[in-house]
Amino acid sequence: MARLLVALMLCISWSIAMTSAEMARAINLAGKQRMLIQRMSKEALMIALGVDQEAAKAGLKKDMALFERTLRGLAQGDKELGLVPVEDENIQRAIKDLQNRWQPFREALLKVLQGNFDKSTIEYIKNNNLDLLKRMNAIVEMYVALNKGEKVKRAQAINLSGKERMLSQKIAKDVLLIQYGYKDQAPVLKQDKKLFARILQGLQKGDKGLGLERTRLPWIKKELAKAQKMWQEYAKLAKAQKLPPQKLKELVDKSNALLAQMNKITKMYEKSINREKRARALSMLVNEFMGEEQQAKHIINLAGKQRMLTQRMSKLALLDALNIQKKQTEKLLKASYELYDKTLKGFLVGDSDLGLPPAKNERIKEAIAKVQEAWEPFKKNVQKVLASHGKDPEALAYIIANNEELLRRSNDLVQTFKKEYATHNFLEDARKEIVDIAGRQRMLTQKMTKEKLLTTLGVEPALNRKKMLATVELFDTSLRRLMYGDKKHYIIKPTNPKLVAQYKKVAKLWEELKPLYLKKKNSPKEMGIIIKKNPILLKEMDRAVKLSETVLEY
Amino acid sequence: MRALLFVLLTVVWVFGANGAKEKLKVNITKDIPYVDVDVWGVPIRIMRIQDTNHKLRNSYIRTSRPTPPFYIQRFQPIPGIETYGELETIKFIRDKLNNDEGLLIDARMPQWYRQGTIPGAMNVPFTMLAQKRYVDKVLSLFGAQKKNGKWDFSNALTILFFDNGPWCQQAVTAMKHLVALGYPKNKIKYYRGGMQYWQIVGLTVFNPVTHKEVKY
Repeated sequence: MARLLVALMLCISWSIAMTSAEMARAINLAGKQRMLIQRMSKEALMIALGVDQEAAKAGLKKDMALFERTLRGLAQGDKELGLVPVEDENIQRAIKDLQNRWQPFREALLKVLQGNFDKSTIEYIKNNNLDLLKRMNAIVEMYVALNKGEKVKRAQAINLSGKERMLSQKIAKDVLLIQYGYKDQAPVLKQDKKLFARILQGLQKGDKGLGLERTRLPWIKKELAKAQKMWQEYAKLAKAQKLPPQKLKELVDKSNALLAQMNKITKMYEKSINREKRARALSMLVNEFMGEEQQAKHIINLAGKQRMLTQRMSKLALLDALNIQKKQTEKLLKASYELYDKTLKGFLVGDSDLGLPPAKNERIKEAIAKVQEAWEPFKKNVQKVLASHGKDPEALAYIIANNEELLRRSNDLVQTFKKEYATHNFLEDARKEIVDIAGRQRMLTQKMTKEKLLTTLGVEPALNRKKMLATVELFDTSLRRLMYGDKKHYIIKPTNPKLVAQYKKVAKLWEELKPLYLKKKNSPKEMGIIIKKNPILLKEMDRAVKLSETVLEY
Repeated sequence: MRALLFVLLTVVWVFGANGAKEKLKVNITKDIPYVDVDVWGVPIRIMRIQDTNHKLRNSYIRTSRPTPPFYIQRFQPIPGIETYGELETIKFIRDKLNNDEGLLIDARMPQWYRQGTIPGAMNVPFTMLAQKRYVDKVLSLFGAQKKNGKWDFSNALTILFFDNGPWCQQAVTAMKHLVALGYPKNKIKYYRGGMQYWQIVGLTVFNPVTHKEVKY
């Protein structure tokens, strides 16, 4: 059992090690074997009928050697042929079986080569070539099934144009068998001709039944048109009637020319399809790579949003205490703390709803732990504010005293993420910087409102006004940098019309609100405007952040 | 009457077929009006915009971008790596790409590639070649083979890199990464003009997502 397991593992590891180029080579050569079986049969009949005997003898010798060598190469490998040994047990068994069946067939061919044959030898070739062909075809199918590479719909074109090579030889063989006296071969010839014509037509114009798409590449179309012309001449000769030796020679020559043409076309398909396969594989790889890059930006954006939530929660707790839009305020406060909590947990253990992977890096885990340390008591106090409907002064005091520490730690986490996902690509890093600054603006809209409320409520008014002025100044400067660029801070001036328009929208709102924040004493109407329009400013700033993440700038 | 119709149809067919190549007002060269490139089995025609009054309207009309990083690249930024112009690039597409003997790589980030690229180009963002976990897969797709832990580049494809243009560093960075991995310099080429010069001479730009020509 253990040995079997080891053998199986070796087999699997080898299969993985087999490159797609090696696999394609094996499929191609195994496919070519089908044509060789038909060509060898044709050459044997040419000898028997005295058609271009010398050329047929030379060709048969060469083909027998190549067939044998390829069969051995498929099983054991052949460096010169570009073949590596196949480890798949079923294929190995099928090749061995074919090798056994090949021996008596080979002997019959040798008899023909030596001129030492009678009707029974030809009869043997007639009766057994199709069996070999069928078995060789089964081996090709097994290779195709083993090939786990990228599947391309057009691959059927390689398969069928490859089959045309075999058919070109089979048709000549059918005619020669008829010449030899096998009249029963006539319907087979008719069938083979019909199939050849259908495939050739299908390659040119498409054939749903055969799974063929219309060929669109002009250089292959040109060669197919050439093959069509050759086929028409060949088909005229390939008839189930007695032909003079001269015509038979012509038939054989035309079959060889058509084989060469179909071979050329098959190679063209192979090249085109290989290109497509490579393009698909590279595209998948780039998607995988960019998925990771995109995730980094998403994480940084969410971490940035956490900063805003710390300030929004504080502002809302104050609004609740002031009985301003109570129902809506409490609903939003609950949603804000739940989102902060979920996101923070998501950063650590992952969250599929938020598209967050679990943290693997120790530095990130440490930064998360520091935020959690500040968050847990903060969260309890937010819950207390909610439970008391804003009537718990101790909880409110805790939030006022500690929200900036939570903000600081949340910001440290943003910086840790930024360092972790640094790309060493100026443009991408510059973009992350812009996303970070634009993201910070969201937080500033909430922070300045909170500070305005604290000042208005008389909570350390001098200190909170000073803080608010600094927040307003930072928001103002950052908005200018985002709108007009800042060489010193590597902020590229946006040129994208959508982004420019969005920043203008934010600037217009800010133009209206800024004097109200700066005013020492506001009327209730002015405070109402701040409270009403602050969420709109936040929303528009959020749109600008999202656009900064996605629009293209050069 | 039938005979006349036959003659007329024959004339149209003969001259129509031959005339297609000669009718263009703006050709690539005297002898090359256009080149077709194989994109997933579909021929995409590379030709120049036929409107002689056409002007660029997109971001490639910009002359200056902040430095760093947008410094002007040397004509041959890496000694040993040949620099190509538009005609060499078109010849490479016709002779190498269509025969699966070469790769045209757009080294920009996918967002830019997806907006429009040179027909037949594949995208490998320049940052990707710096990521160890992707190197093996990318090199294998470039035709290199790993044997006993060492890369064999004897069957590796010739790769032509490009980016936004002479002021862009992305293709050069990608080539530097590839050279550091041992890829032979004679199998790497650099189209310095990039997307900007490609468009300045009005050559076809292709959207690899919609598989349609990009109007610019």
